[in-house]
Amino acid sequence: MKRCTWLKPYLWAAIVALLVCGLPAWAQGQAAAPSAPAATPAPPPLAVDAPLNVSGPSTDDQAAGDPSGTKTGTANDVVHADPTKPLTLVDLVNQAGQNRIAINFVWTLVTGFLVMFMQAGFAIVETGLCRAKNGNHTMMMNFMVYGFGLFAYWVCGYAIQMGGAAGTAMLGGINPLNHEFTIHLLGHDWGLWGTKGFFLSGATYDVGVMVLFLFQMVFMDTALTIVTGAAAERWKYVAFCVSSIFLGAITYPMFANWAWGGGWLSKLGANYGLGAGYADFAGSGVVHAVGGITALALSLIVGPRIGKYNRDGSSNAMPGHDMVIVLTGCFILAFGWFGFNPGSTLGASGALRIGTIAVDTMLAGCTGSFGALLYMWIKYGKPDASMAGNGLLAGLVAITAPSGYVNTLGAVIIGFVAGLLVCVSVEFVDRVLRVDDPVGAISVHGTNGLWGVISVGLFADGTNGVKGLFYGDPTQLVAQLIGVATLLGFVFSLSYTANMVIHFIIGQRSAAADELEGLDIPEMGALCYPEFVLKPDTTHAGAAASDFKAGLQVARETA
Amino acid sequence: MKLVGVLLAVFGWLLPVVALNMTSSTGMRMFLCILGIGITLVAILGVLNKAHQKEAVWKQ
Repeated sequence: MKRCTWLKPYLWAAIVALLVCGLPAWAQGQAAAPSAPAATPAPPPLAVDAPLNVSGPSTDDQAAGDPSGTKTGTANDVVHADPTKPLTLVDLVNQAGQNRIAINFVWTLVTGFLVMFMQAGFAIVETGLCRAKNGNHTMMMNFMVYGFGLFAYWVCGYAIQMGGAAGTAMLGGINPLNHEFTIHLLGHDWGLWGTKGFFLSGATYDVGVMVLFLFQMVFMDTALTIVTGAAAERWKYVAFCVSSIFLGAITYPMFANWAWGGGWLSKLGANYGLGAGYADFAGSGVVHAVGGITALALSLIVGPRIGKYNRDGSSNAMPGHDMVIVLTGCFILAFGWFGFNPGSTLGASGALRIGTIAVDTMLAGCTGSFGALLYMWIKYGKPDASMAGNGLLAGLVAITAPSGYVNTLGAVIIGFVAGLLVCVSVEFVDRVLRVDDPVGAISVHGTNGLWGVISVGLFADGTNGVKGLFYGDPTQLVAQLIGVATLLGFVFSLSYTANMVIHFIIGQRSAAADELEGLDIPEMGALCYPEFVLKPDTTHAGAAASDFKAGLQVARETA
Repeated sequence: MKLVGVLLAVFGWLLPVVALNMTSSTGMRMFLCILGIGITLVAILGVLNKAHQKEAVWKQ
């Protein structure tokens, strides 16, 4: 057997080298290894009410001014429980708690103010997409829906929605809202509505309850203003008033309770093991789908505008009168959405994901407008402005529910699909269903609200407690689908039935002659644009309306 | 027809909710959800819409 004798010196050299280099390193590691802690005496117990030896700048220092900002916001500004005594640890801890809740109050209020401003966006989008002869009427519906909704919500809507929602730590607990009406059925408790907070009276005269009221109220008003667009140009104003009050007082709060107020949908996870229960972070379902589905119910009841469809059932385009205010309104809405989604954390302290939520929101809006633009450009050869605007809104609507649970890739996909979906849905509603929706509210808010709810069950990545199908949990998708079934089955049925009752009592639709003239004078008593000369409508829709008008005249003479 | 449409829509909602107690299989629950949503859509877009289209203004 031949031995590799020539290897021997090299092997020895390698072993020596390893020893020379390795030993010091090993020794160093041993030295760096943590030694057992020496027994140290325990610190003396801290007396929380003992005076702390800290002081801020003197009054004289502060009187000299503070251009650099180093003398403002010091120990002098910490609130003392007893101003006559020095600062204690209790004072510091209380101040920290106060600061956290103050930050969250300010965040929630400011984002609520942003959402309130969305009313202006909705108002001009809807008015711009309607004809000039109905400008005052459409604007006044959007203007007064704020007041009607707010009043109804103060009377009973808020109590029904959030009356049992105590325990919201971000706003200090809101503990006065502590009773949910619940029935025990099929082996589980089913929360149906809250019972505390009617008129914001009694113990609900509370700072946290008030902040939550403002934030939830502006969300509710968003749902209400969606309906006015779908029924625009033929909705009797008095019927609009009654219908809006009902939606703000009953329909919206009921579903919102089930999803956000501790109701049965939110408990599907605990009771039936369906993921985290129905998850709707900022309201694709609660706000937008409720508004869009109610808009569908209203559109069915009031029927299409005169001239929208020909006798053979073909559809006529009825373009709006001002694309500038439509797209400006879309920008206002996109701005307000930064209140809608990031604000739904109900605070900034302890909820630093607000940055992710804001980025998800802007990305989905952007890809939504891409999707719609692409669809229209490919199919019709031109990049349609109103559909690009609707695509932006569709993307924002769709990301509203998943914005707290998805990453940016998910947001991009959700938004793009929403942009395509809104175009397909508008065509389907207009040409197949023959349901007249002047602003596309059913498609933007209804269809994409439902898509947003479903997308949580698909794209939620599990980083914030909700995990969707693509990340390994199919049960979350089941919870979301039950939410969709509830929106379609419960919300639609309740809205439809209530509005049919209103229809039988006072009538939902304006008189045909008023509609042909434009609703500004007959319904509101004043024109939106009194100095403008409105030219006759020479489009197909105008011709169809003229035919109808002639028929109406003949019918009158015959009668 | 309108009443039938509304009742069918409510049925489509209650089907997956009640079925939660009947089965614990995720696949079956998902199937029943989709079935319920389908029934509701047929009720709204088919039955109810058809009933309203009969009296549509453009047919008068």
